[in-house]
This record gives sequence, C-alpha cells and structure tokens, in this order.
Amino acid sequence: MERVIVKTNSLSKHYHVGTQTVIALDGVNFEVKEREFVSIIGKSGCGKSTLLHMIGGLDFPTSGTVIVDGMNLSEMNEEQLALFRRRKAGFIFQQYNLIPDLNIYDNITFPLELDGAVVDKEFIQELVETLHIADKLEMFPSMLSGGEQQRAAIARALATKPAIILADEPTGNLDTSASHDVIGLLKVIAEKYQQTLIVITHDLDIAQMADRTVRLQDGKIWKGK
Amino acid sequence: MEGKVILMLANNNRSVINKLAENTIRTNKRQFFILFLTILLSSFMLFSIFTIGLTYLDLSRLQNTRLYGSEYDIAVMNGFTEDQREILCNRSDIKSVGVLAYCGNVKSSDSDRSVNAGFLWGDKMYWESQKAPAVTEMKGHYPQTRNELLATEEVLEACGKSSLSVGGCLSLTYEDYTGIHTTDFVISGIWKGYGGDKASFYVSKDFYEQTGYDLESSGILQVKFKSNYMTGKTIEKLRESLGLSLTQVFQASEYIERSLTILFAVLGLCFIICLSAYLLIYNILYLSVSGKIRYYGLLQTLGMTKKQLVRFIRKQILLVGVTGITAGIILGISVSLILVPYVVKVLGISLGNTGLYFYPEVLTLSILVTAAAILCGVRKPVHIAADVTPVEAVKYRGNIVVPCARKKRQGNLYWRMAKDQLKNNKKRTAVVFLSLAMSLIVFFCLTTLIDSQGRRTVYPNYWDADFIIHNSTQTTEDITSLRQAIDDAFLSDIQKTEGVAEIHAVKGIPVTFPYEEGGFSDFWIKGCTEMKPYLTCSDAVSEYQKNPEKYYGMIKGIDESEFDYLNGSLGSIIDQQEFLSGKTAILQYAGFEIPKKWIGSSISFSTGNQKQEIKIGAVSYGDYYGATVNFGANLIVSENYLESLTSKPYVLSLTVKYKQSYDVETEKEIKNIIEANPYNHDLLSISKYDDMKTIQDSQSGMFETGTVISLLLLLVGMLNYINTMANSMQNRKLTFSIMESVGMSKKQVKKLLIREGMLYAGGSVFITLTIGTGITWFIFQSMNYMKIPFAIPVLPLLCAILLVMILCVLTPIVTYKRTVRNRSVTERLREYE
Repeated sequence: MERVIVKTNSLSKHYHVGTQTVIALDGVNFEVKEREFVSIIGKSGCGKSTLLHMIGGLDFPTSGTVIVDGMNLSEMNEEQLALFRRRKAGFIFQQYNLIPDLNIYDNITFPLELDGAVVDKEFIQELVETLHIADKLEMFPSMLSGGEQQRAAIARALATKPAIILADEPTGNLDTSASHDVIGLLKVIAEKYQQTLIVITHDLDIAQMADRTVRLQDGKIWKGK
Repeated sequence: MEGKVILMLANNNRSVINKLAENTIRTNKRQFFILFLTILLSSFMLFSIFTIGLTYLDLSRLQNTRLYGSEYDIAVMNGFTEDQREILCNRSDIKSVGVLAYCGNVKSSDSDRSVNAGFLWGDKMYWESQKAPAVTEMKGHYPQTRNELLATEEVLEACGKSSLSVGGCLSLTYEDYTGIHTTDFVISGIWKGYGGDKASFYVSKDFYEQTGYDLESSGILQVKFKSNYMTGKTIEKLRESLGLSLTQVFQASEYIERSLTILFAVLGLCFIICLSAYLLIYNILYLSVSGKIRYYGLLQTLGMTKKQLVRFIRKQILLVGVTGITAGIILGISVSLILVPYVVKVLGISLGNTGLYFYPEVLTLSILVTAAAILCGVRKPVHIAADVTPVEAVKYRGNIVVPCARKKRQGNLYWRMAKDQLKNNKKRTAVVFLSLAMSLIVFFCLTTLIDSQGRRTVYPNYWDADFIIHNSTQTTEDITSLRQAIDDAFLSDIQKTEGVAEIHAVKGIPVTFPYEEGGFSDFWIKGCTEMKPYLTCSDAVSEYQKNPEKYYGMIKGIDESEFDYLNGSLGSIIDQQEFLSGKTAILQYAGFEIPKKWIGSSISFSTGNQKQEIKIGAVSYGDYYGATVNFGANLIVSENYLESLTSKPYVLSLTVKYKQSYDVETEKEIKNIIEANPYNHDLLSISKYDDMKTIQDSQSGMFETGTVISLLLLLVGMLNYINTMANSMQNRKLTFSIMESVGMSKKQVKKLLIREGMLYAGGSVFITLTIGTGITWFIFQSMNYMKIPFAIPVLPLLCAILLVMILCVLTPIVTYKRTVRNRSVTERLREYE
C-alpha cells in the first residue's frame, strides 16, 4: 500500500482584512498518497490556493498541522520552510512567477544553485527538450509567450526532482490546446519521476485527468450532500 | 449611427481630477513620501551646497586677502611711472589701483637700542579700499602730518613701547635714503588685522616725500580687478600694455592666476550636483509613475481619457513637487542659515566678517533646477502610463527592464545576480554611483586640503625648524654691542625641554676686515654704499680706513650636520674636509652683486689682535644667517674653526626641532624660557606653530565651512542612496517574493542584498579613488604654493569609506525588512494577482 505523503489535520487559516476576519480554511483534513495525481476544484475564494500554499510551506496555518513527507511544516521556522520549498516541493503558479532578471536557464537552475548543488545538465536538457523550450534558454521571461513561460516555470519546479509538485491553476492563462499539453506533460513527467502531483484548476476536463478530484467549498472539503 | 460624427465636448472635470489626485496621494502615502523626500532632498542639497559653496568662495578670497595683507590681484613692483598708473586707472575692468611704498627702517627707539621695523606709506585707495578687508580693528586715523605714525601692537612691542596708545609719543632712530635720523613721533592710530606689514609703521605722505625714496624706483602699484575671475590672456595683455622696464616686476596673485581653474571647478561641481539632482528625481519619478500603471489602466477602463490621465498624473506630481521644493528650501534655509552658524558659534569657531548669507539667486537656481528635473523626469513615465492600453495595464506586474539575451554564466550566484541588478538598471546605478562618489570625492578633496593647509601655505623655516631664536642684541656700528643673550644655561634649558628633539646653535664673533685698496674690504664697503644713497663712496672709504671696527663683520660657526644641510642647498660645491678644517668659508650675500673672482680667493680678517686668512668657497644667498645687522661681511665657517679663534663665541641663532611638529606644550615651554631670559626683548623668535596659527586665523571659518559642505554632501549622498534603495525595494518586492517561493531563504536574500550593497559601495569607492584622486590631486597642486608632496589623509578617508560601505550594506537589508515586514510569501505574492 502506498504511503501518505501529504496530510493535513484540522487545518485552518484566518486572514484579517481591516476589522473583518476572513476564514480561508476551516478545519481541513486532507490526505494525498505518494505518486497520486490529485486535482482540487472549487469556486473562487473557497480556499484552494490557501490549501496549496500551506502544503507548499508558503504560508503559516492559523491552527492545525500540515505534514508533508513526514515533516510537520507547522513546526518549522522560516529558514527550514525555505529549505523545504527548495528541496521537497516544486511550485507552478498561474502567473508563472519567473524571475524577470534571470534568463530561462538561470530561472530553471535557480533553486539548485540556491542549494549549492551541482546542476545535472543532462537532466535539465532532457527536461527542456520534453517541454519544448530548449531553444529559449538564453532568453529572458519577458521575451517569451505565456505558454513558453509556463513551461519554463514547470521546468523550474521539476529541476530539483521534488517529491511533490504543486500547481496553482497552471493553465489559467493558456488556451485549451496549450492547457491540455501542459497538464499532459506534467502528468508524464510526474509518472516518469514518481512524483506526487496536486493541481488546482477551474477546468473540469483537466480535473478529470487526475486520479482523484477534491472539491473545496467555503474553506472545507466538500463531501457531497 | 452611420455618417454621424461624435463630438467630445470639454467638461469641467478639473475639480474631480484634483480631488482624485489628492486622494491618491493620501492613500498611497508611502510611495508618494519617497517621491516627496527625493524632491525635498534635491532642493535642499542644491540650496545648501550653493549657499555654503558661495560663502566658501568668499572666505577663500578673504583668506587670500589676509595672507597678502591687502586685497589685490596684480602688483607692479620696483617702481612705476605715472603713465603706467594712468593706463591702469583708465581700464574699465579694474576696480582699484592703490600705491604702497617702503620708505626706511627703524634702527632703535628710546626704549630699545636694536629695533627691526620698517616705514611704509600707502595712498588713500590702498588704505581705504585695498587694505580695509585685512584690517579687523582701527583706533585713531591714518597719519596726516609728518610726525604721525600708524602702528600695530606688534611693532610697538618690537620698539619696547607696547604700553603706548593712540596719541602717545615715541622717539625713533631710523634710516632712509637721506641718512640716519632721530625724530619724535606721535601715534595717530593703532590697527589690528592681517598681513606681513604688522612689523612696520605707516607714515604720512609728507613724511614719505622727505625720505628720499621715489615711486618711480621703489613704489608698488596694487591692482584689483572688478571681476574675481580673469583669464591668463587678459593678465598677460595687461602686462604688455604697461611697457614694463627690465627692473620692474609684474606679479599676479596666486588666486587670480588660478581663478579660472577655480571657476571651472566650481561650475563643474554645480553641474554634477544639478545632474545628480536631476537623475535622482527622474529615476524616482519614473519608478513611481510606472509602478502605478495598473491603477492608471483601471482609471482608463472606467472612462478616463488619456488627456485627463496625463492631467491627473501631472496634478499629483505638481502637488508633491511644490510641497517637496518648499520643504527642501525651508530645510536648506534652516540648516545653512540658522543651524550651521549656530553650531559653529556653539563650537566657538569664528566666521570673522563673513557669515553665511542668503543669496536670492541660489534660491531661484535651486527651485528652477528642481522644477526642471521634475518636468523632464515626468515626461517619459507619463507617456508610458498614457499609452498603455487598459488591458495591458491590468496585466502589468511592475517595472521590468528587458535585458538582452544572455548566455549561461559561471560564478557565484549571489555575485552574478547582484552584478545583473546594477547592469539592468543603469539609471539607478548611475544615480547611486554619482551621488555617493560625489559626496566622497568632495569629502576626500576638502579633507586633503584641510589636512595639508598648514604645510601647503606655511613657508618652511630654515632647515624646516620648528622654532628659531635670533640674538638681536647687536647694533650696526658698535662692535662691542653683541651680548651673550643665549648662554649655556639657556641652551641647556631648551635642550632639556620635553618635546625638543634637537637643537643647533650658530655661534659667532665680531671681526674686522682690514682695509686693502682694491681688496675684499674695499669691494665690500663700495657695495654697501650702493645700498645707502646718503653715503658717498669716498667718505665711506675714508671712514672705513679710520674706524674699521664701525664696519665690523661676523664669523659664524656651524656644526657638521648643519654644514651638510647648507652645502646641500648650495649644490654640494664645498669640500667637507676643507670646510671642517677651517680652510674654506662661505660668504653671506648682502644685497649687492658678488663677482665670481672672489670665489676661491683668500681674505684677511682680525679677531682682537690676531690676524687670520681664509678662502671663500661659495656664496650663500639664503637669508637665515643674514639676521645680523653689521655692515661688514659675514663668513660662515666650521664650529671647530670658530672655537680655534675664540674660547667664548656668542650664540647668534638657535634652531630647535621638535619631536613632533606643532607641539603646543613644547612651544609654550620654550616661550616661557625666553620670557625668563633678561634679554628677552632682544631675542627674536620665529615659530612654525605661530605661522601656522596666523594662516589658520586668516582662514576664519573657511575650513569649518568646507567641512560642513563635505559632511552635508556626504549626508545628502547617503540619504539619496537610502531613498533610492527604499524605492528599489518597493519595486522588487515581487521578485523577492518569487525567489522566496521557490526556496530562497531570507538569509540568502540578505546575502544577495549585501553583495549588491558592496558593489554599490565598491563602485563609488573605486570612482572616488581613481577619478576622485585625480580631481583632488589637480586641486591640491593648484593650491600647492609650497610644492609639498601630495599626501592623502588616510584616516578620515578610510572612516568615510567605511561609513559609506556600512550604509551601502545595511540600507538594502533594512529597507528589505521594512518592505517584507512579517507577511508571508503568499500574502506578498497576492499583492500582484
């Protein structure tokens, strides 16, 4: 039986906007098994991104715990979380979030260089060829199309061979054909490198490509009527 | 609707736009505060630097006037003709032409039998216009009648009459071209101030006219131009127009000769300051406007036209600009005209007659330059904001510079990224480098000048001595007048003084040179009569034959090390052994030409009853050994030889060197020893420390002002850097959040920022040490009157560099911390979604 790689226990996140408190997550209990492809769907503001950010160690929970690959993220300090993001998680954002001052190659190898690791050039070459951006490596993000930038962002997320890939609406800015290509590529690569894939999406077609779909509503996992 | 034309009619929406502009500023206080601060700093910097700079120039001119003793640019010496004076007076570029003339020297007073003071006469223009800036206090009036004298406290003391006040009388024996006279004088006035004329009396025109001196052969014309800046060509043309004779000397002051260099240096500095203010405002404006593109896009989406948008942006900038300029000028006035003079006063520093003044032209210039920088700076970003479509604006994620495609590179990640930051934003880098380097260069330059001021301008004493004491007990015609004023006990006291490194005594005895027709003594007495028109040659020779003691000379003995120094200054032409063994002597120049035939010839002299002979090896033209007042020749011999002539030589001069130059304590002790000496009135002192103090005194706050300028520039440079960095951090917030989202820790961000800071500091320091050293060297040499070697004040410069480095490194870290605060990566990323 495959082991659980992500586990949240009563995970809550509250934001303060002015005098109001917004409950983004409300006691979420959620599990993802190793090498599983899970899609998360839900309406805008239901807490999808917040959940993903908690799992990726980008934000601190108000209460509850997040355990990823045996590590309790709720107990980690900022330095440890940065190390976790660099080594264990690969993040793909809807806005690509490439570093504008670095060219595509430097963007892809950036997390590796932060770790002082030797860049596995063959692996990076294989990755960029698979993602069809091998001829864009010397260019800067602003010189590429949206699809190309998203593929560069995927390459960056995969460069460190993370245990878990977290994609926050990776196809939000792409057309249908490019969206299916990107998800297809992600799935192939995740299978190839035995990685766990969690994708937030609005697109039900894409959600159906996952092994399992989880729906969030008002900060809670929706279990059906 | 086909065929219809839609007309846009102007609405009165000015009030809506104004209200929106005010509200936007209110709700975006943080961003607009940076812009406000930038404009404030720029106008403050312009106002303060120009105000203090102009004061500095005034002070440096005043210092020049004080050092020279009066205000002039050109001096025509060794006499002048009435025509030459006419030419100068008729020129439209000349402000004043004054006349100054030497007309005799005081030999003794009724209180002191050996006095060394001169008589000077100056015309009305000289005294009332040119001398006035160097006079700080005047009691009484300039001499009107023949028996009136204008004195200083110094000259009265030299005559042993320090208690005299205006109206007091004294009897002086003086020598002029008509002879030696003794006359009773009345003190018509006493002045205090600056100049080399403090050891002289000023006399009336009547007195001058009866001294036998005439303006054509010994008068001095002093010329002051209307402008403070003249070209070398104009000065040269002026010289040519005068048709000077061979004996006349045309001398331009150091200041006017360098005036254009100074003007260009000042204009260059003004240009750099204006450019730096412009770049700073442009950069911050550009970042500020382009950072709100999304907001402007939103306004366009809601129906705001491009014209309205431009007006809206301009309105915001106008509001911030006017407030910033006003605040900057108020701060400038407070700091330059209130705070600085107050601090200077509290510290007990005198700014003399010159203070810090309000210059309306500086106010206008500061406002104009700042306003021009705002107008130029706002043009491009306004166009960007107006030209971007609403859709593009909504997608806008900050001001991203698109660099050229770049290959994969090796090297440390942090250094690489830090270098890219500097390269990718050239304008910001230029602003930081320019502003920091300019601050450091001005600091470097001024501290170098301050540090070397004494050495550059204080004439070194003989042998670079710290203190020289001359025995001036002797009188011109009495061979027995010399006293042992510097005796063994006195020498021992000086030697024992803590802080004294070494002393060298010049000893001597009076000697007579027997008259030989056609011989050395004959040549010498004839030479002396050339200098004294009231003596006829035949009378002098016959008097010499009768009383050779009246024309006595002096044999002066020096030790080996002093010989080495003297021989070195003569080009090492004397054989040391011959000198030390007493075979050769060095003849002292006495103001008339000594033909070469006397070099190598032997001359006879008598000490008491003994007759001696010695060969002349060389002629020394230095004036140190010439302090004795005897008519006859002075011969410098070895100490050993002198001691073979007499067992009890007189000490004529004493050269004292300190362990540490300008040591106040040692100076004080030596002066106390002199004070205790019974012959203290006849011990003439020359102190390097006093010379330096005189120069410092004449500067009157000039360097305090210079220091304030350099510190202000340093402060403004640092504030500019802090401001630019704060803005840069605002602009790069998203980039940092992205980097952190993919695993960069805060520690690593700090590592990157430290390297960026180090590059900014390194670049600025590099510019300072290269270009800055060049500029400093150039300015130093243009003011290096004493041709001293160029030396950098290492400690203050190191401190300034260290300060800049610490600031450069800490500022990005602190501003990053303030930008991030305690918000999570997600919160920060969401700002841009």
